[in-house]
Amino acid sequence: MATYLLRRLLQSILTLLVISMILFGLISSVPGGIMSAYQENPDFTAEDLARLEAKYGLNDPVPVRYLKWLGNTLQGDFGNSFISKRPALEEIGDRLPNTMLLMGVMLIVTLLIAIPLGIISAIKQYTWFDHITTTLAFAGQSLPVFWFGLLLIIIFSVTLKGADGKPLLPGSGMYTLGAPFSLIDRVEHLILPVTMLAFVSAAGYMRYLRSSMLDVINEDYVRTARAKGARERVVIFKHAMRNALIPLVTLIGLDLPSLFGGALFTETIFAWPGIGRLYFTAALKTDYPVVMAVLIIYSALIILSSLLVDVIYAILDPRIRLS
Amino acid sequence: MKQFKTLLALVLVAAFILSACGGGEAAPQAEPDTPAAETTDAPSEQAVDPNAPVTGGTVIVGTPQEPGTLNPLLASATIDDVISAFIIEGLVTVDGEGEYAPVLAEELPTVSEDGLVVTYKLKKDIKFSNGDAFTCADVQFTYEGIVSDLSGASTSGYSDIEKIECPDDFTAEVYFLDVYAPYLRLFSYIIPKGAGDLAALDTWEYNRAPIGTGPWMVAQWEAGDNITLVKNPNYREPGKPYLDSVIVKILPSRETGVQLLGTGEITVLWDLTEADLPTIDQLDGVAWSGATYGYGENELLVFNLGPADGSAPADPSVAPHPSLSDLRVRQAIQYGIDKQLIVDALLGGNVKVGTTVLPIGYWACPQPASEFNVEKANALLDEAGWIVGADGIREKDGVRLSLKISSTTGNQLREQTEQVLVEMMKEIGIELVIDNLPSDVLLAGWDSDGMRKKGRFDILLYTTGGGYDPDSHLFSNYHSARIPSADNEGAGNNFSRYINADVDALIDDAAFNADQDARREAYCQVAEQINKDVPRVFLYERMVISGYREQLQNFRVSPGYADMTLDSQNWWLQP
Amino acid sequence: MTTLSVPAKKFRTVREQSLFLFFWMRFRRHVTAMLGGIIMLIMTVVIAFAPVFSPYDPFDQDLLNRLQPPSTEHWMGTDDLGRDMLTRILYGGRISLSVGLLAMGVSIVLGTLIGLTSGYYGGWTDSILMRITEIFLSIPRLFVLIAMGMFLRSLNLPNIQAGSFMPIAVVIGALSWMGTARLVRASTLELRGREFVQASRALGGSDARLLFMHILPNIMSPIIVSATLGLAGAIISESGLSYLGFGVQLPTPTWGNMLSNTQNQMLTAPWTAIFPGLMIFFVVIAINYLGDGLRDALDPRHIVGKK
Repeated sequence: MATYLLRRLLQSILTLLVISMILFGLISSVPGGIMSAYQENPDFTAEDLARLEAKYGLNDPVPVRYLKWLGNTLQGDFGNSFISKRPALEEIGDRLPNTMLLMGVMLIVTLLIAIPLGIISAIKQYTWFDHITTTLAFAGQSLPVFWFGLLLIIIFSVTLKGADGKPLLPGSGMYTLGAPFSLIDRVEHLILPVTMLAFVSAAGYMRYLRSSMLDVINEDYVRTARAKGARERVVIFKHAMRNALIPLVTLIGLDLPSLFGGALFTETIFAWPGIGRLYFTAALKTDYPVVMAVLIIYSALIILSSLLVDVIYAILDPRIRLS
Repeated sequence: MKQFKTLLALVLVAAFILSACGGGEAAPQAEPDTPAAETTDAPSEQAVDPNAPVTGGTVIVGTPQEPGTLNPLLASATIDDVISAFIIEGLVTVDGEGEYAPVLAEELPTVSEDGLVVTYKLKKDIKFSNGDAFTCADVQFTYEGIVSDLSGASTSGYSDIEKIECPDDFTAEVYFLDVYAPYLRLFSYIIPKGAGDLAALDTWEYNRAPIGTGPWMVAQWEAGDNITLVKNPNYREPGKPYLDSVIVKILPSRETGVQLLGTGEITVLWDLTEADLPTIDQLDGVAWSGATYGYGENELLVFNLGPADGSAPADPSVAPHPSLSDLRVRQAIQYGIDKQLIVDALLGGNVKVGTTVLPIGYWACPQPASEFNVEKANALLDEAGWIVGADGIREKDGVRLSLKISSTTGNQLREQTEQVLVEMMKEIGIELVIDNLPSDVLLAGWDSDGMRKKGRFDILLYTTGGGYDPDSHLFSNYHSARIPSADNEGAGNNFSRYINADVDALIDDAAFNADQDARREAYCQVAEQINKDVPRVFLYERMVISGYREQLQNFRVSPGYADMTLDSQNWWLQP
Repeated sequence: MTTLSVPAKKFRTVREQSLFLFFWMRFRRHVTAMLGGIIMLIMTVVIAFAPVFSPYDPFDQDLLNRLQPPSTEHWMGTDDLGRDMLTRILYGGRISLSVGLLAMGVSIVLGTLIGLTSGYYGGWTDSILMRITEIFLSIPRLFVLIAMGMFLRSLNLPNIQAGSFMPIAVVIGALSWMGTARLVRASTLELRGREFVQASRALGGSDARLLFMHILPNIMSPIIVSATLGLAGAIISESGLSYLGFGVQLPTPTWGNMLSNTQNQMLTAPWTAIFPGLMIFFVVIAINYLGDGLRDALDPRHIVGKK
């Protein structure tokens, strides 16, 4: 196990290095960025443009820029945003709690819905309960996310009004601007975005869980347990569930990076000040330092989570040999 | 502790508003100088003049972008300048009518006989929000900042300054090396000398909490979400601003903003387009204010007179465009466009049809509107040898008259305009194919192989304006020296590759003429000649527009630098 | 072939003559799947013969009748240039469905092949393939697509974008196989250790035979689930591509580009937003049901109709 871990770690570092090269090359090959904003303005003289290019270190060839970036990054300095001039990590740090709040609540709600529904609908396969949950799950999977979010807003924060004549549920932001801190207010602001995200992702989790539960229920050891006269409850919880949850571990593990990356659509529709929007805005303006910082951290999390998943898998399921 | 106080203040403000809205007994809390007290929502009991301003309250201003910085020395986007205009003022501004007007100067500056010395008389007794007095030293510091190594500001004009002298605290004499005709555009912002060390410009605290002479100052900036502005205690007009605070809410998109304006979650929405106006008109309790851009922005078509293969020659006649190099084809396209229909159908008739490169302000040069005439268009095309083929599209020497029209993606109004143009061109036998690109790609620079710079297009649809002073715009867009090519390392915006010796000469001469009226005459001749040669078609005049809730009083946008912040010290909320 | 402790009914090899008939029998008993199939069939027919079902031209503008609500004349109202929404939805379906299905196919084939190979062979093959997967997961589509759009234009090809959806579908597929690959790999890893696979291997079955005859049929369910999940994504991605300068350009309608500009019209002309969204919803849910039935029919472990 130790050698395996060591090997995987080395591979991961190498992968990350390759990713950083590809990303840097790719982003540099895309036109635009801070200089094009200046070039667009006829008031900026050739001298101005040269001065600014030097200031942002954009006059070096791409490989040189990459090496400089790599050197600084290895020392923990991701550079300063071209737009705000603040350290990229500071920009990320400002938004990280917001994204983690949204995605964390979403993940918990998702699991709370998906696990019981997935298990029950597998046990009660082809009953009405199963058909209804399946239909709901299909609906969740089939909704165009963006469209669904807009629909929620139109219904709950434009059309429907509360008793005070204000929108029933707030459709934007994390809290009411200018109002004192209130937990209720914060929770209200979470309802619509979490509903949108959880409905869609619970559907996926539920479907996977249902099908892996079905697989497990029909396995020999479960049948054997049943045949030996074990009670159904014991069979389900002791034998079946443990194994059925294994694929779920993969899914959750693979979704973990999104706790950092956020959900662009949701953040965009509900004006949530998270990492997804930071990344998108920075990408549109080709703010290299911020874009690179977000992407590298995200990539590192992807690699880490996949390592984690493999290790947990090996622990949970002795049949899998990692070699 | 300071933050706590701010929070407390906000809490009180909010409680105040909420109770006022809810019909509770709100305690009037008028400032001594203000004419009226806050009323509860039982107006009939009050014998107060309904037009008298009410103090207190918070206005939430939605913007679809977040400012990167509020320091004008580092600003790189319009939003940076707009939000900093709540806080920072300059010596001279462009007022609500598009004319230059003094702000921190007593009057517009005077120029010496030889045109080399510009003298500003400064207002006295002005204080910055931190209590420091405003003097000529701040003008000097602003100049030093603009030309410093880390500056992100345009130095055009400032680089011609030799020195700035302060004979006394309230007189600033600016000495130029050469005559700089557009001197009025200078010093549209003032940075106080105590703002920080110019060698560490990027890390100034000032960048996110500027010190200015305007009505507002930053209390808090929550990255990605909102910026809270509170009253500048040292603002020169007593009792103003009327409001307690302005919160700038950063929105993901304009569409979200329209929806929040409708539900009343924001009070003002900055930067609407003409296409949003029909929607705004349908929303209850919402109004809009608009003005033609002070620098005369036109939505326009740019024809490529040169090759469309990316070879980008300095002289297009080496490989002229197969159809657009012919003046008759360009004229025919203009005849084939019903500009008025576009304005009426897509823009609700709210804007003016484009006629000239210089539509507004001191430099205005009105020109007759182009004619919509399909017969003339067809006749010109026939004459030019483009004959209608079997599929209804014209041909000449086996080449179909099929042109690509490119614009920026994600802009609904442009997409609509393009689709309407496709139909209009079909009527005169021209096939128009839409090929849109992300703005970064379309508008990219020479080095990153920008489509526009390299001439890899037939027709472009976008917006550009004449500038508060036409010099830089006309030179950059119509002068033959500004055709982007390998010779000039891709400098300039003359994407049409338009060459006219008269236009070149007029622009060159006017730049060094200190006689403003003579300059205006010269620029007007340029505008006339452009309309004869049709390198571009002006579709309609763009407006700067903001939407607002009707209870907000004294809201209006300026075509100048101030944009929606014009008069923000006079804003008040009708209870 | 199916030996040892494994009951024949449970892990079946793909060998029977009347296999298709067998699947069909199972599938037909799946009511919701049949329903999904019928919806898809109707949809396909209506879209394929759009001119028969709509009297309007999808490009015909009527600027005086912009954004008209649904009426007997225009069943789904008119759009922002006065064109008939129903007609544009029917024509738009041609491209959207083709792009969606093709992209889904590309992504599933790629993901399954990579996942199978990786999980089955393990070792260095697995390491390399999974690291490549991670690289693909880490690279943002946004930049890839912008760069690709630029590259294609720099070739000066005549009108590459007009009406040709093949490259778009392939690109979407080629950028979205990673999830499938990882799920397939996980399932393969698990199956690799099973008795029937080891038995088959011990009996000298070739790798290809093992992979496609024994393992693949047993991992159909994650594949089908991720396929159906990817379809809606692919249809919507298409509109995102136009935003990056790489998609189907206007005025050609697609469900994606009909949805992309509707955020502000949702307030004042909701029909322009609701109908294209509903179409995507119906198609994807029909495919979901279809996939569900398919999965039950193909999965050797499931017995249809067991209550």
